[in-house]
Amino acid sequence: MKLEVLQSAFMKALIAPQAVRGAHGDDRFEEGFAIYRHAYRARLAGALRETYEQVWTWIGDDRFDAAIAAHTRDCPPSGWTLDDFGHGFAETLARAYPDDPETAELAWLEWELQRAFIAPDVSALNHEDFAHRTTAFDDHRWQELRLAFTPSLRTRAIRTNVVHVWNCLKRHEAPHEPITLAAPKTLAVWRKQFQSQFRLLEDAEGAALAQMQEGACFGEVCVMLEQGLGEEGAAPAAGAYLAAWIAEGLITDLR
Amino acid sequence: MTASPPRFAGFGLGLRKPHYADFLNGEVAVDFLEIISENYMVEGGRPLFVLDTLAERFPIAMHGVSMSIGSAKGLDRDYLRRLKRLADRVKPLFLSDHLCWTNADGRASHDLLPLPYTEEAMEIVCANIAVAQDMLERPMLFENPSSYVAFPDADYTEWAFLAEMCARTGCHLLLDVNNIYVSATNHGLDAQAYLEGIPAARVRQMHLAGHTQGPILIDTHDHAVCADVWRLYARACERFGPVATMIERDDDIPPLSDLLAELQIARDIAAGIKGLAA
Repeated sequence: MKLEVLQSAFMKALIAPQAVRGAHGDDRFEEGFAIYRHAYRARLAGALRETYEQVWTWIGDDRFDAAIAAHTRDCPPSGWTLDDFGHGFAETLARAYPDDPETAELAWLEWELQRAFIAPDVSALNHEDFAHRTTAFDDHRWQELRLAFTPSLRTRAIRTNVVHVWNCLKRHEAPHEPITLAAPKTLAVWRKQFQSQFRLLEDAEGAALAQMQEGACFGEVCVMLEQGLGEEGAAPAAGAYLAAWIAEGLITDLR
Repeated sequence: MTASPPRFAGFGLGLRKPHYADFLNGEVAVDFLEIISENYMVEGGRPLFVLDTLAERFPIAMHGVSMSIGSAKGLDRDYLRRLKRLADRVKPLFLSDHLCWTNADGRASHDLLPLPYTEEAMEIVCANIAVAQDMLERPMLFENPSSYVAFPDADYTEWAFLAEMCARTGCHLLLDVNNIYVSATNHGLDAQAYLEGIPAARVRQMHLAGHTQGPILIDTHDHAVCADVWRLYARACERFGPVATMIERDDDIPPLSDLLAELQIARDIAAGIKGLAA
């Protein structure tokens, strides 16, 4: 048998949900092949349990195992790193448990915290750097200011009290019942130095961060903020957001 | 291509997360550390910081699990570029992977799957090694895998395959003594004949590990090295002379002191202090 044909058949049999008895001719081969089939599934399950420890705790063994089986069936690994197998598990959970949106949001948070942990190293500006770089800014230059954010930064709208759930799980406390928020909020995840971070942003700050991530300038963000905070409230709010983002290590460059 | 890997580099351990603090904070009596290359083929963050810090204090061997050197459809060039970036950063003592395949039809097994030892496989493996060594600009070591199935119609024994592969490509060998024991037991092979068939001049590193007993032995790296494998290691030391040796432990990882005690056994056997050879 040509090697390409053998490898294709071996891989198909390895990842097939059901073992096909008698496909390989002799019992000894079947017995050995079963070890590879078992190891494949055990390794994938182990990777998801390690990556999504809090989700596992939250939904329990049976539901987590069912999600592992669904993800292994629907999203078999294709990349060179086992770490990537966890990609898309939040979507698998969303499909499996549509009535429990906090589970997929918890998975998103857990996944992004781990991706942030190994994101590229880029130095963030501190307050001194920022003051030095902006000391000669006139009003026009402030209006035109654009920001570069740390490459680890990820944001998404969340609909549940997933941050409360996460914090309780990390403290080994029983969370309150999950609840749906009155309005979606923005959850941001990033890494500061070697530590992954997250924070729930209020509506206006979430919108400002989203705009600036998409390349909007400071002036455009102030105009957007004026709609909710009024002319007098917009500039101080924008300034406070900037100060917070600098303190949190989110800003890496000014443009 | 850089020069041949060193003939002898002492006794080392695998760098695993539970032992990061031990290695970062204290003096640890190992001659080198071996990393799983893929764990550090990342963009940044603490893993690379730890590696950079330890690379200043210990020679580093890079050991990969995803090259898939036996893939009939060739190698993943993006993987090789990333591996080279890490190798250029680490300047490793040894750069190794396994004689196996892990990818087919766009799917990854994340396991070291067995090759049929045919002439066709030999040609494919050697062509892939040539590509890898050329892109990485380094000679590579390849490790004999543990296997649980054997294919009919082989043109080579495993050891003859390894020997011919080295002759054709100039690559070197990482001889895993536990894997020889596991595969020899599983397939009814003569482990001594295996050792005798290996070209001694190509062996640059040896691995020791534990396995799980059963009707078929399984290479699980979750036990201490067993007495039979120590005996085989003693025979390998007699056959190959001083070769860099390390102990692999990937599951049920014990305190570092336990692994250092095991490593001392390897040192003693290699020095001829422990007469375990049967």
